[in-house]
Amino acid sequence: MKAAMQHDRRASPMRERMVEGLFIAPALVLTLVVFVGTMVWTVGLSFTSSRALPIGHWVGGAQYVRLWHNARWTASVENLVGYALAYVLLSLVAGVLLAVLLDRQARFENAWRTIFFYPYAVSMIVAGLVWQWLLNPAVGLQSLFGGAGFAWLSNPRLAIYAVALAGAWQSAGLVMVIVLAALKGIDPEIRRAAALDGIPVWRTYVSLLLPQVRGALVAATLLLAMAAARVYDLVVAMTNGGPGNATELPAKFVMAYLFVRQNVGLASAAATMMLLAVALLLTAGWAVRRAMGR
Amino acid sequence: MLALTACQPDPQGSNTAGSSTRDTALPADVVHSWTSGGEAKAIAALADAFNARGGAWRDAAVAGFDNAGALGINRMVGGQPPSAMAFVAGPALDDLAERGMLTPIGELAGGRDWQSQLPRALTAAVTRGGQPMAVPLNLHEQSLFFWSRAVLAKSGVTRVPSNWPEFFATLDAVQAQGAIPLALGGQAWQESTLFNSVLASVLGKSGYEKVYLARDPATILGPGFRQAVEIFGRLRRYVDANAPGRNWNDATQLVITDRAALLVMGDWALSEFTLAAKAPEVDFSCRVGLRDDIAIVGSDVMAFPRARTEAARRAQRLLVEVVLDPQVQHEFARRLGPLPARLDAPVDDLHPCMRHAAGLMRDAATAVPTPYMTLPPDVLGEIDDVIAEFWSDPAMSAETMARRFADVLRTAT
Repeated sequence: MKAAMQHDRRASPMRERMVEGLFIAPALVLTLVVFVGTMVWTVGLSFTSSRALPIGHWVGGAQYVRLWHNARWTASVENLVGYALAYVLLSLVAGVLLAVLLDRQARFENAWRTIFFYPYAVSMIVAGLVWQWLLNPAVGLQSLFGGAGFAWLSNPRLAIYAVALAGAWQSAGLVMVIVLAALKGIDPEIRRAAALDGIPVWRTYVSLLLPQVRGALVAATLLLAMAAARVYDLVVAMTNGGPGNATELPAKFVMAYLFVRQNVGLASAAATMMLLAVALLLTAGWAVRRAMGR
Repeated sequence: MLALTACQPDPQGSNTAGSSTRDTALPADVVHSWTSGGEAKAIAALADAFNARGGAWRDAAVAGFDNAGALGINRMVGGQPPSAMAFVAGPALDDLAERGMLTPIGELAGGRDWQSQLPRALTAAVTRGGQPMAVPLNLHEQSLFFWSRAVLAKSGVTRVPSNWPEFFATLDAVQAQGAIPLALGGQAWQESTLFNSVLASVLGKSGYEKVYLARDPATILGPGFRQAVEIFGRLRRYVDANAPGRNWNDATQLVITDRAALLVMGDWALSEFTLAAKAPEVDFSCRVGLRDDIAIVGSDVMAFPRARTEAARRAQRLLVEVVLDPQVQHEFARRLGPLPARLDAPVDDLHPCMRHAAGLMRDAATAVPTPYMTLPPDVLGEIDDVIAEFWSDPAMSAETMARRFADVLRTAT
């Protein structure tokens, strides 16, 4: 039905659709070959015994069995859960607070926005290095303030949250921009009405304005969750997985087995698990947005 | 950077040799990870010799052993193989050799007499299907104990410890004095290097080989192994807080600058001591294992991926000739730290540490292979994981560690 209606609106539908198709074709082919093709290739490899080179015999699900018996993999998955929760939560809270502050008609809003958004323009490698230095007991915050309390990176229980903090420092600006844009889009009458009714500012935001921008919040959460699932460079720069395997993460596991430990089959099995996780996230996000009627 | 500048063809040299040499210079790019100051000087010895014989060395140095390996294999798979690539002797070569991606050295080297000039264990480590697939460059000692004489003297220790009670008394004395007892780079391979040195010194040759060669669960779950794990665990308290993530050469500097008493590292650390003009037995002492009686040996080798053009093969032949030359091996080893692989290469002007270690390293009764020689990279990595996790988690018991260690070796293919 929909297609037919579109048909009617167009002047010479056949011709236009051909031109459209022509324009889309390169991107479509590229997407199919480069993204979908390599995904299928990787999933295929995960069922083989490939070691250093991507050639091997069919071994069924043996790599998956080995994967879930691998202590580093299970530790990586646990670490990722801790990282993702802390990272998404910290980024959201910091980002929303910044957005609300700027939304309060702050002076020099543009300057503040640029400053807070700036870390997002810095690559994760740089963010990781900066925070590694900040948290280095000999040259960082600890030596600045004296005493102890900042040696988080050498503490196996705290290290992953220190990495999440660095990640949130980098990403909070993105959340701020998304939420701020959505807040600016709300009908000013609502604020005026709330002010007239004498509703406190915090209450206006919590009960009136933030629920209005829940679509933006869900989008930001989804972006953050996907960034968390594939985090790699940050942890390489900050801890390289240590101490022990306290900050090992799935993406690092894949890279290690792909390039260093010469087991392409196991690496592909791990990559497939990551693909599944991201697919689940996307489906969940889609379902939430649909339930919200957007 | 040093290696790069050293590799520029010497303009005067090419003038005297005539323009014909320039035109026919055989270019070869070599992937390796010898990038620290001392290492770069060593690789320049190979480059200079290659250039002097009509080659044009193109350095493809990549910082980090793992990164260099990944780059080289990627280039091979992608159809742009380097002329030569540094590996360590052992199962890391298996897949590439099996798939015919490496040129058997027999096709590149004239004659076979070079094989008889290598330690037997080394020839075996690079031979696949009856064919040598790589050229051993050197013989590495991977459990040297470097002691700072200044730190020992300041702590009132007059002689280098040679048993565990003395060892711990020494570290305690150093700690009381305020220096760092043990300089450790908190990276998995360095923690493993330390663990293996402890293991070899506790278990001796036969026990060590039962663990890494026979993969015997009874030995791994036995009292000797547990004692080694406990000693390793006790070492945690002698390491400073900045160890996590530290590079090996930075750890080495701690001993060179007399801020730490002990470094347990392979002989490549010698190049840093030499670079800093530190005199053996005056500024520092080195021992092979704790008691100076067991050597863990490995070897850097050079492999030659299948080349597509005849010109590339000619460059490879020249490279093989160069790296098999006893004089070149000697110069490379002299600058880097290890022994030359060839038994007929001179050793008399090598570092005194290595002249002494040579006897232990070449004697089958006192030398054991490094795990790199006996375990495939994925298994090796999983062993590293167990060691690193134990190191970072003081709550893990020696029994748990031993059981997980045994599990990795049992389930490995």
